Amino acid sequence: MPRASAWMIRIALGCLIVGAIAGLLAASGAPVFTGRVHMDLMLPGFMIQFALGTAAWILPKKGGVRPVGGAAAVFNIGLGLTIAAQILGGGLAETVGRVVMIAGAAWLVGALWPRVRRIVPVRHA
Amino acid sequence: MPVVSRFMIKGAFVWLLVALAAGAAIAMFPLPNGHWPGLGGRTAVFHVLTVGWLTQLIFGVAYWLFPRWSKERPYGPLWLGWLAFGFLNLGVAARLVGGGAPVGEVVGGGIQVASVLAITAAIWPRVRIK
Repeated sequence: MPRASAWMIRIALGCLIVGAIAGLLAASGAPVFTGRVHMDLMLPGFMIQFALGTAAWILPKKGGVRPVGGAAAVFNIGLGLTIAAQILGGGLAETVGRVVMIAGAAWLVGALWPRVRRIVPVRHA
Repeated sequence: MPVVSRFMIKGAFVWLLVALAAGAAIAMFPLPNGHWPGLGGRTAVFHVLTVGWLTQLIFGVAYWLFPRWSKERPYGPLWLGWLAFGFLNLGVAARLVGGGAPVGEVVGGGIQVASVLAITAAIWPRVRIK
């Protein structure tokens, strides 16, 4: 699979492990931020990133492939900023992190959009 | 499709129906303290949907579709897949049945962490740059 897909899936699996542990801590009565970190690691960090990384690998490539490495980097910078801000108390940095994360996701969707198309099967006479 | 993937995908379908039915029941018959006696409330139902349905579906499809481990063992050690399947479903059930009490959430969450570690160990070596 392409380098960007492999890294997105690896980061998603990392988010899954850390997010599950954060969820366990939140259920055990740890500080409130662990619950919010759990949500962000599991939904955008794991589910969205795993799905988009797999899509970038598996969607049809005929007709050209737009690189997704930059978009994945922006998405993860936004995710990291959001989580760091939550641990440190939220505020403006969390909002900025979410906006950066959304920009990365939009860039990824824009890169994958043209690859979602009808494939015409080759007919042999 | 490997047998463990089929079990995961069918298990995901079952949890989807359970989550939809439980969500509808909570909406129709709300209880003052937020959950039924002996069962989890909205948080437990949310986990049935996100872990039992979505995460298990992702695991099942990834275990089947990702690049092969090797020619001899295309899916790697099968016991890791079965361990992930068993722990995930046990964890979701524990959260749903014991979700009303903190101990149920902690036990269910601990079992889910074990499931996540097992599936990551099964899938990680198959995520290869080509």
